[in-house]
Amino acid sequence: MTFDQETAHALYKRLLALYPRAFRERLGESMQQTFNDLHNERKLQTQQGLFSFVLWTFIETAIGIVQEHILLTKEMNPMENTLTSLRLPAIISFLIILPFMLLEFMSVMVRGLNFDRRDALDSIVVFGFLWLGVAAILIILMPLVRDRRAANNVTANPVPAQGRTILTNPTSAAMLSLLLALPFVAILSLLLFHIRPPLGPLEPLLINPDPDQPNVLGSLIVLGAFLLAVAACLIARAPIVRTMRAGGGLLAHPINLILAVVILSFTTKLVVGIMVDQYPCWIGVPNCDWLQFS
Amino acid sequence: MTNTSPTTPLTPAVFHTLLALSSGERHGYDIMKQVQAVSQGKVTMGTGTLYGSHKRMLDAGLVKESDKRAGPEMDDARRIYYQITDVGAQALAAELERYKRIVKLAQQRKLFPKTFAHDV
Repeated sequence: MTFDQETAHALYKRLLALYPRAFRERLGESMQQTFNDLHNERKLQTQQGLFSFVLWTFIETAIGIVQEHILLTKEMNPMENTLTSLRLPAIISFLIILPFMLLEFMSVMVRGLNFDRRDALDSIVVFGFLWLGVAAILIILMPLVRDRRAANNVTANPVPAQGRTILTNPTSAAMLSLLLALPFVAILSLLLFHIRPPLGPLEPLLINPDPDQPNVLGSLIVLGAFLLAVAACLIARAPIVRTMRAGGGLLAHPINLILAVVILSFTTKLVVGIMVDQYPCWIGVPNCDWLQFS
Repeated sequence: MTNTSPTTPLTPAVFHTLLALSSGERHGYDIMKQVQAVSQGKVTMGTGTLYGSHKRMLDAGLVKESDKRAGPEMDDARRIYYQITDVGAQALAAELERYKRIVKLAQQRKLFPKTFAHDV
């Protein structure tokens, strides 16, 4: 496989954009120059493709990006809102699903399959959903784990230290998150119990008569419900995180905790379900999509 | 913030970078080539490792950016040259001193293979 030099340089520039801003502004251009120098040197040395060199450099740089973000998180003010740091969960979750993406890619390459537009769209949906799911789980869990660790060093005080808003008031947060999670619970319940609701004029839009064509509207509704569930979990979690930061315990808001655990369990089940369902396809099992019917 | 001080043991990346810069100001690619040559290809640093350790070395004051620029036909505005600082030189000297003590101890305890012991 050969790589066009300009493409490799452009992709590397995009990869460098994932570094924390301070690092990128200080060393980004210099790194790019060094990559260009190494790439040119390899090109002069070898007549073979530069794929392995580019792949190794990208993986090594991606590891460096994660390390820099971890260092930044350690240095961060613990009171800083974790929602301002979405990049780390996004990168970690991407690295988690990367082996599965490579499995699918290798499976397609080795078996010499035709990968048409429909297959590409399917892959984007599956891996996009997985990425989003794993990132959501990390976003929900990271501050809890961090604050749980920090709790050992703080004097216990279950009363939130600062002003109460709708998101930090436990009762309001519980009600709001329950309302947000309802569409997700409803859709999942319908799927679990194989219930087909009367949809009336919406039926042709939501239920696709042609199974070979992607159902865009249906996918958007499922995705929207999933995002609502994640938002609900974040809202239910907010008072818990705030109390833990003030030195209180994990069980200070039991209703919020139950809601967060339930939504997190559903989300995890969904992500694990997709992985188990798709794994035969990633490792190259022929007709993997039909295994469940055989 | 890194807590590297002249008395702290250095990581291999930091040690080799300081060693490379001890003989003059260099830019990133040049440091990589120098490290590879000095270690006879046994230490290979990618750009992520090299610049990650650069950041920490800059923060700890072991190295600093230099004003040096190569000739216009060779240079690129993005190329940054680095030079070792006094703190960096002290850290390198302390690390080499540690190596020296370890080699001496190894000799005393006859830990080197016989073929090698005569050369040390």
